[in-house]
Amino acid sequence: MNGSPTSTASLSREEQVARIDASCRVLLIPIVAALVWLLLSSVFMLITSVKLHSPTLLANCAWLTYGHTRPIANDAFVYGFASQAGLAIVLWILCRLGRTTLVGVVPIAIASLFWNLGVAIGVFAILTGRTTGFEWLEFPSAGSAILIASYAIIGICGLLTFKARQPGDTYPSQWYILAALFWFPWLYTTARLLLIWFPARGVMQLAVNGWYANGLFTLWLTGIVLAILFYFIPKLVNVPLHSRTLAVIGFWSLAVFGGFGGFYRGQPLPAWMISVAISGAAILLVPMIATVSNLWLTLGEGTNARVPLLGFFKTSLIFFALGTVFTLFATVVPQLRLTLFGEGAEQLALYGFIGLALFGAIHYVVSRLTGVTSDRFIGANCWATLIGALLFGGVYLLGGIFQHKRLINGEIVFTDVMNITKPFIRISTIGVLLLVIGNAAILARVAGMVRVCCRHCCRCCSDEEQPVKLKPAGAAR
Amino acid sequence: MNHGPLIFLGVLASFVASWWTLVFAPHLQIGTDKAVEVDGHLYPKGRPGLASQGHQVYVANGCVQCHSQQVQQDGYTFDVVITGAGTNAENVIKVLASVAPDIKADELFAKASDNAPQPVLRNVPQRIAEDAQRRLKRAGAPAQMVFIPVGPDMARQWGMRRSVGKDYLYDYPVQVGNSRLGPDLANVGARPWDDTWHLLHLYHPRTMVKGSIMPAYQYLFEERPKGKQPSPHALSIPEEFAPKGDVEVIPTPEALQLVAYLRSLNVNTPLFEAPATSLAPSSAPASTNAPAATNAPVANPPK
Repeated sequence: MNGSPTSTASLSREEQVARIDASCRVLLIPIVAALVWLLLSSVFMLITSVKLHSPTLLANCAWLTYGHTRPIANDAFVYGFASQAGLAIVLWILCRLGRTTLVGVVPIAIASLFWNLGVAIGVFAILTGRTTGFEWLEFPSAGSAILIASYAIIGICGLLTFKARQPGDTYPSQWYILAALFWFPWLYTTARLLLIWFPARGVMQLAVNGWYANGLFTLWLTGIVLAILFYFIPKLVNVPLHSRTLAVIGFWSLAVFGGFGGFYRGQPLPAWMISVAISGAAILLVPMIATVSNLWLTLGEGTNARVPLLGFFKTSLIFFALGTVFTLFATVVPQLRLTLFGEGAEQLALYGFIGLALFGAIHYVVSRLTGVTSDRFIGANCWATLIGALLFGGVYLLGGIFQHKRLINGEIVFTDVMNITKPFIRISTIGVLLLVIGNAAILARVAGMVRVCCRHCCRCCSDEEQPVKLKPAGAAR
Repeated sequence: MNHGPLIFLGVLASFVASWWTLVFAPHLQIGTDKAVEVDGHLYPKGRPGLASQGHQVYVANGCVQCHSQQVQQDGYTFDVVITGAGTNAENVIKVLASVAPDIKADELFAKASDNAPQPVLRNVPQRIAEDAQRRLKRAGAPAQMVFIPVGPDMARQWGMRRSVGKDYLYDYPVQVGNSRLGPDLANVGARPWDDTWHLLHLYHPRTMVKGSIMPAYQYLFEERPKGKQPSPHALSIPEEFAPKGDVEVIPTPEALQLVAYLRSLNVNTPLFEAPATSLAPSSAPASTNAPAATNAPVANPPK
């Protein structure tokens, strides 16, 4: 049984790391699957984007109408890619930080397959028009029940892995992971209970939906990504974290206030709820500043040598800071959230903050798990994603500001409000195209490495030919 | 911070706090909202069958991705009108002249009656309106204040008042929307568009709105060869957008349901929590469907 964790304390450091990485090899399943969803998501986003300036494209195809492709692109990103890959990465981080092997290799493998089945059912349902109609919760019950069940298995394995850690101080990444592992199931089941299984009445649905969408980003995905940033930035520059106190402040202020948001000015909700959300969005500047300054100072204390992959995490950190500010603006300024600005801020958070951090982590982790070194496609992935995110999200932000200026002037007819956005929408298609290329690049790299690894394993088993050149697994923290 | 249980408890407490504040407390406040009686009718009403089916078509096609259904309001102003001559003509004219120096007091006074209320002041803040009303009343003129919600959405005639929770009482799932890539649809049924307009617009939005970026929903229509007698349901599509060949375009049941739903979208009824005045032009007689909860029974022209 792979279930019982192995203490690696008595082994030498290199052996320890090799054992841990070997136990985590199962995580290649969710990582590869996540990258397939990522590519699919961006292809759907490309169709969505093209449709905005060529509205007759695929007009006869009910499945690929704009109202289907956009939620599919978003859901495939969040549930197919970010949640799945994020879980895989944090499990690996838990093993490395706890100096223990992964608990429950077989259950995790099976649950990962089912997770993907859940996402596939959900995506297919949206394609055929059987969405639930709630943002970020579009998957029908069949898909979401499978998601929850497989999440429960993976989550429990994660908690057991955390429990099996070697004694010693816990590290900020572990706090974020532990919290996030609870946040997601609580949020998801509460929201589904109150929206789909025992639906609340009228505008309460909007309240639950907004509360969930906020938690999904601010608690679950942000928690995972901050765990990744806290782990990789000090590790790559090879210095200890600048300040543990700042990390504590950042963590608790996010944990306490992160859930108070999700609404913006003008929504048909009681005014005090909007006020709470605005205050929440403003208070989130505290964890943002604490975290960003902490990690930035850590970066400054490191050597100035160029470290591969560090750019992913640095850029993600910048987008984290910007994203918090954009969210605050979209919450406070009337109607801004309804323009392209809202969409742009969301996509910058998805690709700039969450995406880049996960990409960097995947590049790093997959090298360790497969034992293959290759720099192919890293540059393509990095630059295509960065420029793509800026041309898509950034241009939307800019277009949104122009659109907003006209939208709040009631004298201007609506077609003229939209006319101003057309050039921005056209440029954004180029951005999405770059994102597709970047996503294809990381999938190609990871798939290539996994292939080499598998071939190597087969050769070892048949014990004949010379194994391909392998690099010893990377140095552990 | 070395104890898992400590983190667990802290995280649980903060999660419950956010749930309590933003889900449970609002549920106590608005979760048990009921329909109210406005002018002898219950508001809101459930949608008729076809429109109710259309709601599901709206959801299934993801219309919410581009269309919000929430009218936003920046604030409000007041008009002051007089609805009659009163008892002391000389005095009223004098006060009129001092309240609103720009208007021709005697002309306005002569025209004022119950059926043709005359605006004295337009778009003034509450304090000024109250003051003018008090002075006119003291002079003996039947003066009234008219409550006018203002904001770009009102200027575009997307609605007379802001949207409130009651407007969504019977909808499931509620489709409030977060995007205005398309216009707000909260009151699209109040706009002067008939079924044919909506059907043509769905079939090819550019037939009706030049430069629209809305996708064409041609899959909601059936193209079939023309018979000896054209179908009475066939759309007459402008040459430029019509399909090639000898075919006619018939709306599917889904298209008809969707149009019924769109035409049922009308939440202009004034409520206590969101008072408003009618959008009818000012030349019309004083509206009889006056808001119950306001002191504003008079029509106000949209700008």
